[in-house]
Amino acid sequence: MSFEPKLLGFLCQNSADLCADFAGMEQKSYTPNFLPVKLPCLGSLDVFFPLRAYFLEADGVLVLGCPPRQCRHKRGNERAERNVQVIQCLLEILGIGKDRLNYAWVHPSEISRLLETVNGFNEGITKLGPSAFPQSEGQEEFKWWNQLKKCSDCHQCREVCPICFCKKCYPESFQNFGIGWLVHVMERCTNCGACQDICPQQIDLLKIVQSLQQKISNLNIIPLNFPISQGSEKTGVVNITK
Amino acid sequence: MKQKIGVYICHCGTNIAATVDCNELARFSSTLPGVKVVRDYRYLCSDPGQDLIKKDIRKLSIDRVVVAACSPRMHEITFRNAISSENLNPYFINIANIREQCSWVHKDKERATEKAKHIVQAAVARVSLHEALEARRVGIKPSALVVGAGIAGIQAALTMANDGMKIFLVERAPYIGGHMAQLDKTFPTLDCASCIFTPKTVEVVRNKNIELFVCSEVVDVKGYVGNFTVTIKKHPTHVDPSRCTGCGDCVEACVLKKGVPSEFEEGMARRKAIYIAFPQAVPLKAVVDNESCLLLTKGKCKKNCIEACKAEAINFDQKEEVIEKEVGSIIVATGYDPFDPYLLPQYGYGVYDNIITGLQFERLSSPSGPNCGEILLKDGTVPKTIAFLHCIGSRDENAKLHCSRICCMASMKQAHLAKEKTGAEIYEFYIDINAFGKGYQEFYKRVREEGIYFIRGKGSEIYKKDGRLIVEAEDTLLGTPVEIPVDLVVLGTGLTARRDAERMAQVLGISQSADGFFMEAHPKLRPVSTNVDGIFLAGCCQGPKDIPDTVAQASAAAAEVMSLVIKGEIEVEATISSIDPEICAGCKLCIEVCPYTAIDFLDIKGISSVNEALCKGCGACTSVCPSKAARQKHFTQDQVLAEVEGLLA
Repeated sequence: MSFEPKLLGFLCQNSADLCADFAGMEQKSYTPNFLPVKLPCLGSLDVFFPLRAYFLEADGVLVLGCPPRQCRHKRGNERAERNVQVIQCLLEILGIGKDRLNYAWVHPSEISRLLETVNGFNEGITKLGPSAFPQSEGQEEFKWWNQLKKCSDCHQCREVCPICFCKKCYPESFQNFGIGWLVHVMERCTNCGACQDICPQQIDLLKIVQSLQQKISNLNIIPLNFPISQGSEKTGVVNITK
Repeated sequence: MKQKIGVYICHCGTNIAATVDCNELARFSSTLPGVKVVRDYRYLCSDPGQDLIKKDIRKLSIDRVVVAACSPRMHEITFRNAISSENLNPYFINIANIREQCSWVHKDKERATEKAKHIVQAAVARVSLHEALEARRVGIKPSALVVGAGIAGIQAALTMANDGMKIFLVERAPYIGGHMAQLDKTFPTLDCASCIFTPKTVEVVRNKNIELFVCSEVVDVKGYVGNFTVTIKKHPTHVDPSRCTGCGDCVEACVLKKGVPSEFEEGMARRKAIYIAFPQAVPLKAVVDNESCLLLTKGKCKKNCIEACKAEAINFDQKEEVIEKEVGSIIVATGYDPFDPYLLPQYGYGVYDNIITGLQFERLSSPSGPNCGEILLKDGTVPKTIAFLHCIGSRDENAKLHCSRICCMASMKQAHLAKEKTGAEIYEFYIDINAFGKGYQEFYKRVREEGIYFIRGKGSEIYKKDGRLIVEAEDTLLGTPVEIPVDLVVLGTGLTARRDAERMAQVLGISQSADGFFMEAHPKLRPVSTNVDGIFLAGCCQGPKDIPDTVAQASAAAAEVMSLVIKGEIEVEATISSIDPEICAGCKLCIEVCPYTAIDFLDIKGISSVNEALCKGCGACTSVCPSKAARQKHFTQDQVLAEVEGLLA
């Protein structure tokens, strides 16, 4: 039997999810292995949402939001597009590969675009083949993940971290503290190296964060805290993909 | 305490049951953790269907409900009301969308059933983490903003103002009335547009409850249903309206000899730099055009207008004003832009003389127009043959796909007027005749009987040969190409969304359809609401409409607003953000990203806190919060992750 990927979608309830409802009303079919999750706005897309999917052996995750300048919450779509690129860097570090996550926009009325996007993504992932994550052993692209897997949940990295003050850095249902903590500090890490020194499992935490940060800085994207509160003049689209 | 989850599967007649095996889905659901009871029913949204759920809540003490049925957009409210009538928190329900996003889009029963299982599994996993939320109630201010003062805006404003509401009516042009003010007669009754319309415009000015802002635009909207703060920018007209008597002396005095094309006359006449758009304009006040006034553009002018004005109303020191108003609801009635005929060069608009648009014809034909109602060619002679071309820019793969609805009738009405006034030979080039309204088909029959030639075939090109305009088309009834020489061509230009509709949509936070018009909340059941509570649509800004439909929709929008006001308060979604003060480290990232400035920093505690009245629940704060102190209620990290796990497990 040919390979059929497991696909998950995060759909903005103001555009893509509405569009999926319209597709239903018009009985326009798309691939049934695509499973949708509705979000109030893609600005709320948490790194852990797609990440969890890969842990559950999803082969691809598609993030579908509003067209440029049409976010109901001003710039949630730009935030999502930005965050997707950051998560793609993380996926590269983990060996999952950035092609297994994609961002696209669909207007509520653009049913054909929705179908093309979903079916096209399905084809792309089918060509890519099944995701070897999280089982992977020995392969070069999984070297960091194979280290992170050794995490014994002692939380000492967090105790020594100068920028993390939390009691709960990552969701409880998430199994690997190392990766959770990495996500948690990746955009703010000061490279002090305290975590790497203290890690009893000798995970190269600093090296991992540094190579991740290197990738993120190469993206040339808008900063994490880009302001969206300053009136309607500021809502012009910022081209962050090209 | 262990939860007792009830799963209810709707067949929706055969809408779901035809492609999803409901028995198998029920069997599978009963194996899910925490599920106490599973039932399937033909129509769950019906009274007996809802009673099934209510009875289980009473008898089996079910405390979490999953309804596998249609999209939550259809009946989430219905089922929330049902369970809250049994004293269960309305947020203890989760709708598994197995119709729009499953049974209707997949044909293979086995695959659809498989997908439905995943969706139900995710819904069960998620509902067990749902928290009890209290719906917030907010008061509704008894005032409204109406954007646009065409017939739609006027009708809505008058309806509400006559009921005692305070209305702020904002119009971009210096006069109210919009496109209807430009029309000569209206189909199919042939009443004179001004006669039925002018009383309404006058009433707007007289009505004490309506505050009119002309030459003004809405530039910002903040807040939420019942409590919007709108910012209106009033452009300077350089004439004090309280002093201006509308005598027109300043217009006579203006030194701009050649003038500029008049917008109201669709370029068929010229106006001065200080002008009154038309003699019946309401309000009848002169305004200065910033772009053509010599004093304002070049800084040099004899200022004859100031001298001519006996009322001393002209003041070139006037500045732009920014006004803030508090309103409970907003009606958007921004109308349409006629299709730009320059975009279809095959029709020669702007290249040859005597090719005009439908609106230009209206001005020609209007007794108050440039020719006092006589239909004349550019050289002043009476046309002997006239062609009316339908569907210019509408129903066209190269322009707009939609039908503009009114052009067939408008063209036929214009043909009737032209026949009456000139006795010319008249040709109508049409694709189909859309005579959809009351009395329209009868009007079509009447016009046909008046001896107007109808040629079924869209005009394909207009060119000039031997000094005459030639209309080329294919007569699809005869199956032959035709070339008809004419003196005057009227292009039945379609209706398109306003060029700046996108900016307006952004200011208001509403959506646009693919054709650019503003999108209604539901095409059939909520045609005047938008996806933003408290913002309603009226008239052509939602899609092409004739006058009766526009008036009907405007009245409906006014009724929607008034029903909110009568209730006095409204329940708004409880799904907003909150920040856990125990976890928050006070980094302020959330404050920087919040699009609604809804997060304040509490200096004493050193933490951030959500202002519940302003938060709209977009969740931007939750994605940036490094310590996950910010939580989006009903979309918490754990809830979404449970859904992801349910879908993929």
